[in-house]
Amino acid sequence: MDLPNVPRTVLGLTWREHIGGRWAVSAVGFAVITPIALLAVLINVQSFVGVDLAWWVLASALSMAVMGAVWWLASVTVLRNRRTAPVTVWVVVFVGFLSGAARSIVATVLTVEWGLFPAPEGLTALLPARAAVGGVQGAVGLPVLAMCLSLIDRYRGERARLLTQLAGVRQRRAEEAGAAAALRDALSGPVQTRLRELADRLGQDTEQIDVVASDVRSQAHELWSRSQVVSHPPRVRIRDVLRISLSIKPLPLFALWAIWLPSAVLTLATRNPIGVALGQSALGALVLTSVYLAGGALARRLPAVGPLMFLLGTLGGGALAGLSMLVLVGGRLTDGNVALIVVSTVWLVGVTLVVSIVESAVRRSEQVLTELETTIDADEVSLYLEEQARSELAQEVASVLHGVVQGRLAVAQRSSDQSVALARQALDEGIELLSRSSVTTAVSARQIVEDVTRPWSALMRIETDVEEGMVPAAGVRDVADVIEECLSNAFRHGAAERVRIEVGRDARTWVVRVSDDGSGSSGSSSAGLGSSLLDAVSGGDWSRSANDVGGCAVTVRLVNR
Amino acid sequence: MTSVLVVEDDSFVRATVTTALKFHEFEVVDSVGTSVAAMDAFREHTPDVALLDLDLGGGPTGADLAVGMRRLKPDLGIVFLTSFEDPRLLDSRLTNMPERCGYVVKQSLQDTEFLAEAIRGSDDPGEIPRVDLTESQAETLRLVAAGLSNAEIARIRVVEVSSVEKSIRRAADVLGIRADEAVNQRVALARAYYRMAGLGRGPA
Repeated sequence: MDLPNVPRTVLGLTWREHIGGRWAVSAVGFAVITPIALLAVLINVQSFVGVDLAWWVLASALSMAVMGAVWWLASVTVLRNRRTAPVTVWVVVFVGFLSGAARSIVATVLTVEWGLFPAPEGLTALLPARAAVGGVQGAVGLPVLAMCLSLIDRYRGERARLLTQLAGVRQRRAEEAGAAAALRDALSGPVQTRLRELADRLGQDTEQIDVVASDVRSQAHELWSRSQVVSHPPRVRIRDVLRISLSIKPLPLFALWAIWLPSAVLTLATRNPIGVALGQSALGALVLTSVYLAGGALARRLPAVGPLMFLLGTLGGGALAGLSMLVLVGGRLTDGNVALIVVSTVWLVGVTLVVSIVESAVRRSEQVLTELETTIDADEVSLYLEEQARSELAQEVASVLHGVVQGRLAVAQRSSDQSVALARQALDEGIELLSRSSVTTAVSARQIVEDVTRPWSALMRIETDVEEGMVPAAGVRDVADVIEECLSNAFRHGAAERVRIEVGRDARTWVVRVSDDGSGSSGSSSAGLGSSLLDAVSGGDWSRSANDVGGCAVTVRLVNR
Repeated sequence: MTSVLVVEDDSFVRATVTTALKFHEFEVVDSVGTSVAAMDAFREHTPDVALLDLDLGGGPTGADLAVGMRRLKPDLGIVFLTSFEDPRLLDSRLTNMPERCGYVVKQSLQDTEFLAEAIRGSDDPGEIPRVDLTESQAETLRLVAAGLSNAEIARIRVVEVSSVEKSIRRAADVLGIRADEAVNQRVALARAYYRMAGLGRGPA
């Protein structure tokens, strides 16, 4: 049965998790919508000539405060667990409805009571409709807002993941180039030099143990504090997400009809008969739909103009729709009407932006992530890696100084006999530990082959063909074991006299091929033992066959090396 | 005078054995510590007898060198000087040891005369000593001593876990180790292995 190709998750989370998760009601969300709401009021207020602006702003601020209070109440009650476990979407919708309705009621009551808004038929006639529209806007707006913030957050998280992956690749390359060892030397070298100086001082003046101990302690402390500066992978800039996500698609229209149209109808209905208002709205929606579709088609043909089309489509389309609504249906272009058009256009930009983000996450997230990946700065990655490696190594060197040297010095301080000898021993031990690299770096493939074949070259003539390149630390043992196993088998069970070893890279893995002139692959009593080793290092990807001289040829493809 | 090549990776043992052999009037043509040096010296001097350490670290074992030397000189006398009471305890795959080899276990060496006798009799040596274990028991014992679990041993040997358990039980029977509350059988087996491999007895 073919399953429908519907993503169950978007950027790693389900819709329920996006909407009902940590962003469901948040300070960030409130900070995003408050300026928009206030801006809308400031523009709207111009349609009522002669009113006091300060009172309008106060009324808006109070209504937003009420909405914030509803959010806060929700966050400490029904939504209190949203950070750890997402809540049901309907709870978010309900909170959105409640907060939106509460805001509208407060705003309407205050503006009517303060005489800022004309209500010829009285407050009670106006209130239910206003509350309903506010509630619907909230019920749609809050989940959408939560979803958008969650998606942006995920994009940023995803980019951080990509960055970390990229850093991993770079680190491996750096390791191959021996950079880890170089960094280690740079960090532990000065410490070793200092320890040698201290050891010399100890030889000249036996009363110095306390001073030496204190010096070592301060060095360890300094290194330790340096290692505590933990670097985080740089996160994606929000403007990058927005820039890449913006698009003109028909989808925003649905949101437009759901959010913008009811508001427009209601506003127009306060001035015109309801039939005229509906007609105006329908015409506006038609104009807007046409602009969107045309813009979308153009942007598809010329992807480079996508963001430009977004601006033109929303601002231009919105303005055009507003004009057609007001002018074409017998209206006239007054100052108030201009303000209305501007408000509508701002709304449109907001709605289209939100829907674009959601749409890009759902349908184009891979593409967006790829584009985000290309914006990753190479220097940024290098810097991050260097800081991380430095921090780890500083911690390692500090723990040698603190755990070994200082511990032994403390014993020397308390010991009456041989205290100088003990102290010197402590310093020598520290120097040796620091010089012995615990960071196993990559080894060249040629070196591995030489090391393994040298003892066997006494018994067989061994030819090698080794590709230049470094085998990562984790794979050195595997490559050596495979060659050793093949050589011992060739000699002991095939009585081979000549062996050819080829080591090369195939795409991303190292491949070892050992061919001999022995008596072939049959009759090996150790098939079990050799096979289990080859299985382990190759994940089963190896083969043994007869070669053209009747000997045995083994090809092993090492896993992840 | 019988010429002898000494191959031993422990420099102290090498020096001691060389002095002892000279004392017993053997001509020591060379004493070396690696397989490459051993074969070079062998090609150069073609001695009558090779005294070989069985375990030379990584790479070929003394047994492999013996095979390689016999290819060049089929009548070469060979004496292994080793701490392993049974070569299979070093590597279970050392079942195909070359024929006609003397085998001297270091722990059993009472005096250097014993070693001299082994070299003199290398053209007609006795059997290579075998502990009373089958190959699979010897291999299982070696892996137990390496600290591996039954499941891991089964994976490495490509057998069922139940076979490993059976192998361990039989090896314990042969070595006289009983399942006892006072003794951990696994630890006792590991100690028995180390004793037979000449790697020390550990605390009593």
